Amino acid sequence: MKRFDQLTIADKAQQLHEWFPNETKELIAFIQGTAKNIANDTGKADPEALLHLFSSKQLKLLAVEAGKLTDTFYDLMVNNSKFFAEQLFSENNLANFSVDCIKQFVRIRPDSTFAEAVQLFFMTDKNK
Amino acid sequence: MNTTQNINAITEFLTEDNYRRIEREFLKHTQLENYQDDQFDADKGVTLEWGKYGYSATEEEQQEDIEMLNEATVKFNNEFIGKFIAFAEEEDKYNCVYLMDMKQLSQHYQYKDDVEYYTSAAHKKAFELIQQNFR
Repeated sequence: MKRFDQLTIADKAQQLHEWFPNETKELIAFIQGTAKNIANDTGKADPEALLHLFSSKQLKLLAVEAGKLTDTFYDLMVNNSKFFAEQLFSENNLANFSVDCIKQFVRIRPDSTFAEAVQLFFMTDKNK
Repeated sequence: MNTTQNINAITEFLTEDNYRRIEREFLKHTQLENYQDDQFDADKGVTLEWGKYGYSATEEEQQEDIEMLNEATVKFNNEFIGKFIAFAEEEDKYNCVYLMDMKQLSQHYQYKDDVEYYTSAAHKKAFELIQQNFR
């Protein structure tokens, strides 16, 4: 087993999925919704946080990609933690997009155990 | 243009950085209920497994997936002529799909006959060209 400081972002995402399958299902839907809102400029998503990482053009392209990915493989992502983690959290830009979505997601439910795990995995200084 | 530039102009390689994207291009042609796992190896490409059949699985259960996977490889191979190639194989417990670039393929001669049987003339030509360059 890897030590905590050796875990990759994808390892953490896979662990989160295995610990919290129900919350992860909601998270996938959240990523899907956020991606669509950004891709379609609905004004419902708040891409402010993401714009410090990407230009608006890059962000739109990523949102289209994340939207397609979650649309096509939603069921597989819900049922297969490795697929979920590797597809959404391994490629640099897409991983940053997905991690930012996780952070936004736990702002809606800050008092949950899931939020504590996200805090531990993704909101340490290294991942901020 | 040198040989490397020539090769890069006509093909693409399956790497740690891009294999997930290529894998998605294959998966979109498939039924995913029995999809199990993937493995990437820089020399061998990507291996995808379909399973859940268990030891008591009937031949029919496994057969349904292998037919679906064979159809998916045809669609994928038509999309990626000269770049990537997919083969499906029925194995004891799993059905496997192998995704390779032309360089990886040229190093795995057991698939040479499969290229003859399962792919288009354009694919064969691209494979021969790459094979000559990597010999």
